[in-house]
Amino acid sequence: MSDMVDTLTHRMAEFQQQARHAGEPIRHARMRAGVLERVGARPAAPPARRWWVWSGAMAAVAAAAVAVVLVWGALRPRSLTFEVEGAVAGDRSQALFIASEGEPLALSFSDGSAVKIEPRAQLRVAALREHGADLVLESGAARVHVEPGESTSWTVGAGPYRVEVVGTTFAVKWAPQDEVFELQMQEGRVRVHGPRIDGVREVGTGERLVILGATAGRSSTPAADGSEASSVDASEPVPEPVPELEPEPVLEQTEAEVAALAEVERPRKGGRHSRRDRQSRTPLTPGEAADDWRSLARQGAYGRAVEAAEAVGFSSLCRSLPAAALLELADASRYAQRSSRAREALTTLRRRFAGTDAAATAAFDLGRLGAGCDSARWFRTYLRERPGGSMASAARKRLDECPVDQGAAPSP
Amino acid sequence: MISTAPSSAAPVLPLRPVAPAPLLARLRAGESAAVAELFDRHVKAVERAVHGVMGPDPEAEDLVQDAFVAAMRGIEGFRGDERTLGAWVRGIAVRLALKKIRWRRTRRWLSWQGTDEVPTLHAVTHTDTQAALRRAYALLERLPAVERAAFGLRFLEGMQLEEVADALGVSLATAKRRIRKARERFAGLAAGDALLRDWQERQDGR
Repeated sequence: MSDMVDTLTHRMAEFQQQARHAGEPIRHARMRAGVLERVGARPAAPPARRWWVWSGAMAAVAAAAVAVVLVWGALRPRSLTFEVEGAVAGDRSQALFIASEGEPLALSFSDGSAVKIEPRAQLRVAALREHGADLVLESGAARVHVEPGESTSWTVGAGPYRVEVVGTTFAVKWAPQDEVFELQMQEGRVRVHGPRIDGVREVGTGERLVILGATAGRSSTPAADGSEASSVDASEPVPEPVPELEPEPVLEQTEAEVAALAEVERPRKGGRHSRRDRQSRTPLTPGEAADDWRSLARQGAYGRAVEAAEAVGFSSLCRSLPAAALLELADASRYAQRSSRAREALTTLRRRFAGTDAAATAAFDLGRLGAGCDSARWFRTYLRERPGGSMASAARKRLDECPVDQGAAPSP
Repeated sequence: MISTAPSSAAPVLPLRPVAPAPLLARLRAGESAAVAELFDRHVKAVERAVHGVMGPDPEAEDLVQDAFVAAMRGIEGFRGDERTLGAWVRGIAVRLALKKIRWRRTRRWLSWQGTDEVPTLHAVTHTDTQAALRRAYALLERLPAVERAAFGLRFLEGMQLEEVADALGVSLATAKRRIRKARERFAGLAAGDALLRDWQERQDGR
């Protein structure tokens, strides 16, 4: 095995560099404006005071702070909370959610609003307030439903653009590499702030706003049927021809689909559901339970994936899941450092699917889990069952690393 | 009729380009253009230092801004010259980033939160590698803040040893010791992690 630290640091360095280069001009322009604004507002240096004035003032401030904390604890407005695929996320502001390649990720908020993060998209919940939240779509597409209300105030940031929402349903997309911003309204009206649109532009039901090249492209607002929307002026000068953008599948959803999103993923108003609560209302079928832990595992939430599997019966899943899914469950358990659960999944797999490739892989994984001679025996089992298998060379290397090798193979 | 006779007025001196005042003087005078120039000259180095200490963190952008603002507020007390101005701002940024890490750890400890916050992984599309990098960043969170910073500046941002020492405000020997310790600690944590071992094996198999 090559030096893991070298491989990892190389990939991390590569990633940090790429992450920094992505959207650099816009980011630097934003930071520069922020610095200039803050420096310009520099307050004058306070005049020197006598020490006793300071001491008195500090004591008064401390007493006031204690009082404020006590009163604030009792009276402070409660921010919205949200759930991720049914699991309570609480106040996880600044948390970044990355949808896996194959599946979207749903966030449900306690005011009835819902966000669906499309596959491969990344969305951050930047702030939660009593009547709204600030979301930042880092890349990809998301569908947003905001429950209307008198004081509702939501924003969705996407690159240099900010969508102000009061109550509406829409799909938004941001491609940072190409600086393409898209907004497809399903219902209601939003205000979009950002470059290339004269500061602010309103977009209403059925309209689509597309901005190609946030810093040098052009904007257009064709309606859902492809024609230009008459209510929005799209008379920006066009410096050079830009190829027309093909609408992504996410922007072609029907109103019924959006309504379904709002209907299905909206929690009851003012409340929040725990996973158990949700289960008690709609019991999961074995297939749905499998999907639940699987989607968590694919997001990298291995601990929660094992908990989800346990919630519907880990052992019964081991008895019913197909071989490939059992290997996934074992992997999730190993990565969550739940060795006994991983062992349970792997030994059940070897019993149920004896003689298959999956059973041999399970033997290799049991070797990874074990220590000393136990580990060596499982690697030997794998080599006996699949001498030319894809993990044979890794098994041999692992065997060389084992300090003790009793030679006897364990029973399957 | 136009007279061409020479006038008796004072002689006209040839125009000379006026040299701009030094950046430091203009910064001390609070000129906005000078602040913008300082930012443009050094933002990349400052951003790199912040990423070295914190990784690709959502708050990195705020910290870069904070460093420039803090520098401007302390510009009267700066005793160096224009050549050392960039390193000075970078040092401020590193100290702010370290402070932020320590503050987060304290908050996490007080509220019993786990360390499952993950960095933004814009540039990684392969889910396997994404999971491995997320785990690696989570392991870095377990290093002492100063060692994490030394490790990040040296191995993730590729700084020279002298640069690391300068950014951290420590001697070269101390910087070397921290880097070595951090690497040993990180290697130990990574070797005991099932996900990273699996990933490494798959990398070796390619």
